[in-house]
Amino acid sequence: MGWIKIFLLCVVSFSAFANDADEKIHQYAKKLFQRVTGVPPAPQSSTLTRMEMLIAQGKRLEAAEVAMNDSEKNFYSIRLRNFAAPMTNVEESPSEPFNDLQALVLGIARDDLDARLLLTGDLRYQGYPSLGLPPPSRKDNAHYAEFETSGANYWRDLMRSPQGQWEDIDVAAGALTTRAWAKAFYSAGTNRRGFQYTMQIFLCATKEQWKSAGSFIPDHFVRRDVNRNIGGDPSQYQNDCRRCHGIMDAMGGAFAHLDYVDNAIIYTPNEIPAKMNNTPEGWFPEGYVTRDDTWVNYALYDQNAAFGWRGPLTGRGIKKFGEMIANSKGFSQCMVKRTFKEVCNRPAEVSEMNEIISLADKFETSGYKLKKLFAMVATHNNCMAAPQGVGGRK
Amino acid sequence: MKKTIASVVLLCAGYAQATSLGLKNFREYPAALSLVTRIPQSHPAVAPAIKKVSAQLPLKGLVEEMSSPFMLSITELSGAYCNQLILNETPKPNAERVMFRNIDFTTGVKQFTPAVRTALLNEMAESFWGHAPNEDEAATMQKAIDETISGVSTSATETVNVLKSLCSNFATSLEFIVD
Repeated sequence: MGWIKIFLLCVVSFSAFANDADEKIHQYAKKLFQRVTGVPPAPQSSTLTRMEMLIAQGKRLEAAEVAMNDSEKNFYSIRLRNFAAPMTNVEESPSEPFNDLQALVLGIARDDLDARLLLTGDLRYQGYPSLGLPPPSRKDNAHYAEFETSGANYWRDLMRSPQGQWEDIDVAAGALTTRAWAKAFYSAGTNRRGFQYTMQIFLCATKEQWKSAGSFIPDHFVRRDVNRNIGGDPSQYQNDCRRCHGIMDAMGGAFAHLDYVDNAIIYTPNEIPAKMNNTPEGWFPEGYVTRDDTWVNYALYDQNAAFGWRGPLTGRGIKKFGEMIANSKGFSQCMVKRTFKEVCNRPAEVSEMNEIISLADKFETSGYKLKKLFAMVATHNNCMAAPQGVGGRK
Repeated sequence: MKKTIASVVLLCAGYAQATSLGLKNFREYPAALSLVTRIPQSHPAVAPAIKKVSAQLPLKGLVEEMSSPFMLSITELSGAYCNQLILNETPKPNAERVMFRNIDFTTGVKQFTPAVRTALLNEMAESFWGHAPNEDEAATMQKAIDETISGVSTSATETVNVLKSLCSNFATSLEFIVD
């Protein structure tokens, strides 16, 4: 009878082990669903059952993708909106009302387009005509505001406009030529915010992080409104102002034909907005006068080498500038960092840089697909440890 | 209120997993309530409350955003959802209900026998938390039921009050508001 006892013990032990393993998979599936969509799964949801089967097979990425396609589509209305909204205002607030830039992010993600189109694309996402919304306009946000208040579905009710981004503007560079971006970053000022926030939002680099650490930066492009002799002391300009303006003003030319006037984004291919050539008190007559949209990238040395620039480092116009940013390693890594912060509820730590780089490489290999990126981050062990014994990608 | 904040702080301080704890933000909290109660955010019974309290809900979902206005807001919002949930469920046959499948809305609080309570708490915990309550959680909710039915009449209205109170307790519980 001894062997029967051993057999029964094995069956009972295996059952307990299997139940324990099943429970771990169940809990992991629920957490993965919440990480991906922003809400817990509905009780007894068939999506959860499908996820559990995939997780048991070691297919965690596929399980994450199932969560994204859940019938409620909360991945779009919550996760992606949380991700996109901060890109559209100076405070990087997630509560910014729905706008054309957020629609662009959601559309590119939903349609599995190359995310570099965020900075280069001639495309616009908007509500279907059947929704009866005001038409999209360069001059107001009514179309998108009403899309949001009407309760339209962010996955089902967005279409890609057949006419490209703007019918009456001859330039398109994804986010950089949306009305929302212009409202936030081209209004008033000297058009330097456009550059500063491109770096901050798409390369995850604040002014303090990209300003030159010490290497000599040519100041050929520093504009006349930057005082070279503050309080009678030229050393402040040389030691401080130049390290920032040398880089910023050199690339600022990319924005030379763009402005936000009377609530509208405008593009003036044959004119430079006056604000680009201000002459305030203390102005420097020998400073750079912006006459066209030429730009040069001087953010190449010291810590800025980590941006991993690929392709031309000088050019004309906003589209070429957008291409340079989008093709950099910095862009891919920044998209990973932003996704990580949104999905994992915390910013990635400096010690996790190798993982960020690895995820960025995979993001690029995937064709810069945002949904794939979200799935990879949500299933990464640094975000949420997989239950023991469940395989799949790390 | 202070106990809740202290609990969250202790919970976060002791939490050692890869994902950091946060709160459901202004998008996630109403969406989660909608999912559990099957009441869409656009429903006229809840939409005004969502609009009213949205600014007091966490913006970024950081633990630091826990505050008294936040707690008052989720109490108000959960009240709106729970009220409508009960209105929705009352006329349905038991088997078709989203929640309260073993409750007789025509009977008073005497129906809350130990068996009924256990089944109710398990059902609500699965809906709001995704798991059955552990001993401590069950004890806390049992106590909440005791306090609500203590000294009340035998009217069926009191049954509704017990369910509203319980529903709100679950909807404002740490486990539900934490992301």
